[in-house]
Amino acid sequence: MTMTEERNVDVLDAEGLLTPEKESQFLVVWRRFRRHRLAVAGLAVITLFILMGIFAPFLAPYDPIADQDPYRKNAPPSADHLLGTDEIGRDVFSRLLYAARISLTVAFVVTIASELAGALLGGISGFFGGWVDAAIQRVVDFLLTIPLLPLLLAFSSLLRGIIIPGVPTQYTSVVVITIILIAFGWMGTCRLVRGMVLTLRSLDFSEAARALGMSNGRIIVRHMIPNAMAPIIVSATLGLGGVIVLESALSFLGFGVQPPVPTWGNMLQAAQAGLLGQPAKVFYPGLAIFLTSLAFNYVGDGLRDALDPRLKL
Amino acid sequence: MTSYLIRRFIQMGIVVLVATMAIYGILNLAPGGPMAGLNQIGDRRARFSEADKARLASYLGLDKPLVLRYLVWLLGDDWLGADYMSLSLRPADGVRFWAAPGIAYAAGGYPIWYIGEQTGTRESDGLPIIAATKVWIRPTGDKPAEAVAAAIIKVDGGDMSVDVTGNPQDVVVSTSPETEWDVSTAPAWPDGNWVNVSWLFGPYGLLGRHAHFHGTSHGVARLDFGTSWSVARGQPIIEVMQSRLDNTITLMLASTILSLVVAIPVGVFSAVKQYSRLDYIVTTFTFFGTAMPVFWLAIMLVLIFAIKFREWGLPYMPAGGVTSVRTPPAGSVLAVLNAAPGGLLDKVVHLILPTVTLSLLHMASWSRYMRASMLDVLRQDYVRTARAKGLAERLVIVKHAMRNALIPLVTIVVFTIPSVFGGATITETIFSWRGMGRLYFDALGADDWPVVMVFLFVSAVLTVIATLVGDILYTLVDPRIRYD
Repeated sequence: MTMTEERNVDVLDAEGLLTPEKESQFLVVWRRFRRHRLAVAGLAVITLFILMGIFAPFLAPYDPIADQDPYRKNAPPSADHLLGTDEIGRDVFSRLLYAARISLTVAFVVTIASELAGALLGGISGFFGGWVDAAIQRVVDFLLTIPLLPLLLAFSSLLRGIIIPGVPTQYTSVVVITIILIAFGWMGTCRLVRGMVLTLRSLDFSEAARALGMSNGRIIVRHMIPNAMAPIIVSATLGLGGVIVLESALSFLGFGVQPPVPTWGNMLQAAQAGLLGQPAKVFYPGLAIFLTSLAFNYVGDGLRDALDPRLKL
Repeated sequence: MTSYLIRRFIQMGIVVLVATMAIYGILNLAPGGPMAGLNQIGDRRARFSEADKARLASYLGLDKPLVLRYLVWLLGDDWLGADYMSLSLRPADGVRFWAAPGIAYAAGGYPIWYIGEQTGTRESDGLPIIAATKVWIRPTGDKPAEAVAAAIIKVDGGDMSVDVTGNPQDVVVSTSPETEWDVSTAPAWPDGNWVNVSWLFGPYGLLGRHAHFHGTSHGVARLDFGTSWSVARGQPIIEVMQSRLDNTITLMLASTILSLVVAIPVGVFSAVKQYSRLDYIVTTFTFFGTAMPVFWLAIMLVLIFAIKFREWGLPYMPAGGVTSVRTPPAGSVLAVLNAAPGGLLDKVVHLILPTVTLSLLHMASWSRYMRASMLDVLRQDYVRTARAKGLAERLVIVKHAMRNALIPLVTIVVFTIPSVFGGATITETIFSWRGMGRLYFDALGADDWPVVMVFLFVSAVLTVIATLVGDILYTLVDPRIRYD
């Protein structure tokens, strides 16, 4: 970037400050986000994976579950099978695409639901205080008492073989794992939001709102939520990476999404069994998990910088 | 501080108690439940029938009400007094609870008197059934005229088959809640320290017949963890865990030390040289480290150092295990080092890959933490003062800044205490490291619920303790924090 361009940016900024309605909040954040190059790269990777997931049926040359070639098990990469075939002759590339679909859907559903639940409970806890706060915080304390991975393993082990009406049997494990991850994923946000609400509540603008006779609901909707949004968005983005890894870990250990439904975790598990013969097969699913998790971490980092009001534009 | 500690201890107690209730309740009530795995064993013909299941449930005590099972799991059943299953009376010491009057005090060979009317005959052996209105166990004194003297042959639930004195025909004396008992002379136990809980645990008490327990376990709260069902069938869980704990502690200590040795200097350097190339590399590394799935890292390490190295003819690492069983094959690191199977060197070599795997995550997050904490300290006035008075930069950093920057890290490291017990399920599983994490994984796979529950219980207790230790350490290292 040359000096003149830099100066132009400054001029633009000054204009933006004088006439704030010209630039929406979103554009401000986006402009700031773009400065974090790795975050932009992360966003690109995530977008790519999401598109791969959405368009999996069009991109994938084979069906990830039904198309099994009994004569070509564990085949090396070829023109027919871009990344080769797995232990029962299914196309690894197609499975990777569909796995992106499952893994990302689980991650997004889990994160959105647990952030919502956490924000809601944390908001209630911080805003109302008293016994409501005490009750919610004790539940949080207690849920955080037991280490997460063993707890998740125990639960998914318990719920193996459960039947959920309306869900095809092979997708049951997907639903179960989603529910379990939501059930044990909201506590961090709850604490975060509670702390924020406690701070916000004591600030002058809340006092003013209360003095003006605003109802609790209105104060929460108009003042608390907008002010608490930024950290929630950041924690959600970082959480997405965490959920991807957690789901993969569970699936890898055999307690998550069950085969034949492909996820990166259970593909890795299957590939590990054939580690000696087909070492390359463990590479792709693991790389996908790693890249997604890394990308979400960088995007979260970028968002943290972009959304921080204390940082100069 | 004292009152704070007392309050914290009470809170800890409550949190642990609730945690045990939740662990026990959920694991027992969930749709899978402790016996879910049974139906999957064997083919259709070899599967468990409903009767088998009921028998097993009764053997394992699963047919009892949940609340009582929970109490027995937590506190044991020795305090329940009578040993219903083996029908023997046990000597007691200290305060015990007893469930008399009732069948609890009847045992084979005891003389009894009974009053009752015949109501029918028992199907299995045609013995007449007498519905007893009053029963004396080991009576003394004069027998009332209407009572019949007999001796107990066998006690079966509320029924006793008895040998009626002077009559070749045995009868079944059947008792009910209406039966009046006279057991005043029955227990030959120390006087004065028995509490009557028959309203709850007596055969006709609130929990009724369900209170028939073995009476030898002390409960997990008193560190009697019971026996394993399947992972180490019939072996006491505490022994199984002891045999695994050594390996886990070794692995955890090794990885914690390695992480600290790397994380502290790296964090300090990248803070001192903020925005330098080194800092940039470190920051990138920490991002990679925190995003890296442990299981993938572990597999890739095995792939490269165990499998590929072998292909390339380089000295390769063992792919898993705690020690070698037989002489290592030629070409491996172990053979090159001439390590004897089971020796110290052998163990150290086996430790390397799991330790590196486990350390990476801690290294990444701890060096990030150290960097932030160091940056914070470097901005402080006393650091500027130290520099101003002409101290060498090295001394300023090591003596004034680093020492203080270490404080927050100490508390973070304390929070890893529970994981020293719990191990690293994923790493231990991949490297076949016979530690706690692997035990837990195996127990889940084999539906060994007692082991699973003990693991979760101990983890919960240790987490609570670690949290308290962490909080106390805060006050010790930072006098500004006070709990009043």
